Amino acid sequence: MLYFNKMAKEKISKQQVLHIAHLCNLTLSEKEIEKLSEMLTDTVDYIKILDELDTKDTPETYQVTGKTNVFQNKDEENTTLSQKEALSNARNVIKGMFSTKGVFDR
Amino acid sequence: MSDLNKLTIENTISGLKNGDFSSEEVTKACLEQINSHDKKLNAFVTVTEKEALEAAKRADELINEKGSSAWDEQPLLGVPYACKDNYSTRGIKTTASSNVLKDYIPPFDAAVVARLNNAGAILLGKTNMDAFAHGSTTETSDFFSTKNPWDKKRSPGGSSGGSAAAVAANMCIFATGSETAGSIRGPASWCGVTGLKPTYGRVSRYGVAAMASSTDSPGPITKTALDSALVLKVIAGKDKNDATTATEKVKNYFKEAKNFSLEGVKIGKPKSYFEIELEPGVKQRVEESLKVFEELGAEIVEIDLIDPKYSIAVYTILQRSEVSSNLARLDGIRYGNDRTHFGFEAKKRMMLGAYALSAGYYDAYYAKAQKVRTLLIEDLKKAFEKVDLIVGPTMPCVAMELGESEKSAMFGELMDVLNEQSSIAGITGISIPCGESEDLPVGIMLMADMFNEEKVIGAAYQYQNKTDHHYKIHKLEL
Repeated sequence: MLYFNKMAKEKISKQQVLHIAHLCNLTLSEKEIEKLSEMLTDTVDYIKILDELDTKDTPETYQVTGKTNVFQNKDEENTTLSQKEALSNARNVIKGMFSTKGVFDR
Repeated sequence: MSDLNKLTIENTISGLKNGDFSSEEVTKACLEQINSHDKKLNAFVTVTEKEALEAAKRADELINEKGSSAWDEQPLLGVPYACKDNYSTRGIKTTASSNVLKDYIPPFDAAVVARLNNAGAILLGKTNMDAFAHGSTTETSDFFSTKNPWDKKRSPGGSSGGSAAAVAANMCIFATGSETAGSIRGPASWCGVTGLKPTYGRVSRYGVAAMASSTDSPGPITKTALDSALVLKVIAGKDKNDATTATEKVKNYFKEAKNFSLEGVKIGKPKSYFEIELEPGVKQRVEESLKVFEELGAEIVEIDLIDPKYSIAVYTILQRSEVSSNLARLDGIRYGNDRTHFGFEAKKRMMLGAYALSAGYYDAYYAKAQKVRTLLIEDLKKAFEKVDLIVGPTMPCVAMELGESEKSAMFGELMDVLNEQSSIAGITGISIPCGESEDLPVGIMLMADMFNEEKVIGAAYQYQNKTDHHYKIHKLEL
């Protein structure tokens, strides 16, 4: 495959994969854990090539057209959805509100 | 009149104006093409036949009532189009080809959809894509793979593969796509049609399922360059619902493109873009096309751009980080199914993103990538001091066989290698067909600095005026 270097890779372990999956709130099958350990290792190994470029004095660019602090115009109509519309795809609605799983133990 | 589905936007409008046919007839011709061939191609996730025919009848009534002046108010009146399934369509299922959003019916229209509706365009249906736009072959769709109309064993490219296939198969007059890096230009190249990636912020992202918010650019997939100008005029411009949309004036892209002359125009040919592993047939077609541009008066100038291998790394980090953040909102509570429904590709991207953004790694990966992004922008800026346009092959190879994409951890990012620098920098680019290799279409890409869409469309139009590669889709046997 294009560009992948042959140097020793820093392996992303299955344990790390499970930790990241937990952070992402994702469930993985045993096969996926294995495959991801391999694929994430390959990807991280590849992206390290950026270290070859000197960016000591280079600022970061987050927004390419240079826009900052764009506010809504208060005279403009800013209504988006009605309550009914906003709830139209919800699986569980109680008294006109989204019903979620409990966060705290009683 | 037969073959109305093969019309361009330009021809559709002039035919409707002359009364040669009705919008209902054009719409029916497209729907018949879909009904006859989509079982084999799988370009559409949803077809809105009933709504389309109703809208076409309404358009015909307006045309009868107002005559030619109807197009002054509604410049795409009566023209049927296909819409990528990551654009929200009010009351019409919008899945982003994912099981998470399989049954989602948005209560609102994306800004682009609303603008196309207001301009009188007629929605034929929603097209297949890589799920959440994660891919370059449309194979990561959670539903089915779209086939390339040129060869059904091959992929149409992606992520806007359904849209490009629908245009190439003449199932619509035009389609919408969206590009994070390569997702419009790539499939346009592999399907032998025209794909325009507008400048970032030129077209509103409101209501388009977010992939990487800092590069996502909605745009048209069309049969000709001039058609993309007609669509861009309608969909471009400031939108109060997308704070990143640009306030720069929306130009008359059609007129400016038509008047654009290549006489004395300098086209930069980046050495590094031609030094990567390119299929010989692709390289040859692109080199031949450069001669056509020279005949049209342009001067080809060799330029230096940073090795695109660095763009792959920057793009992988930024895109996956933004994906992990954008897809975090999908919790199955307000809409959609829960997170157990994500496909493998989405999981893979979210996880790399979460890893790159996590404490201890943020500076090494995410912040570093944003710094290199600055270098990539400066690199292009320097180039545009010397040249008006930059050229390259759109894709390093012709359409690949289905199944190839699963073999690599970064297949999409590697395939889109030549699109990434321009996407990361937010500039505009167009891909147009420039011949065939192994009986499959090759795309050439033209890029210009921000908000210079009329230049890339104009140069592409001049090229299409002199060649007939963009008509090859008329001869495809589906």
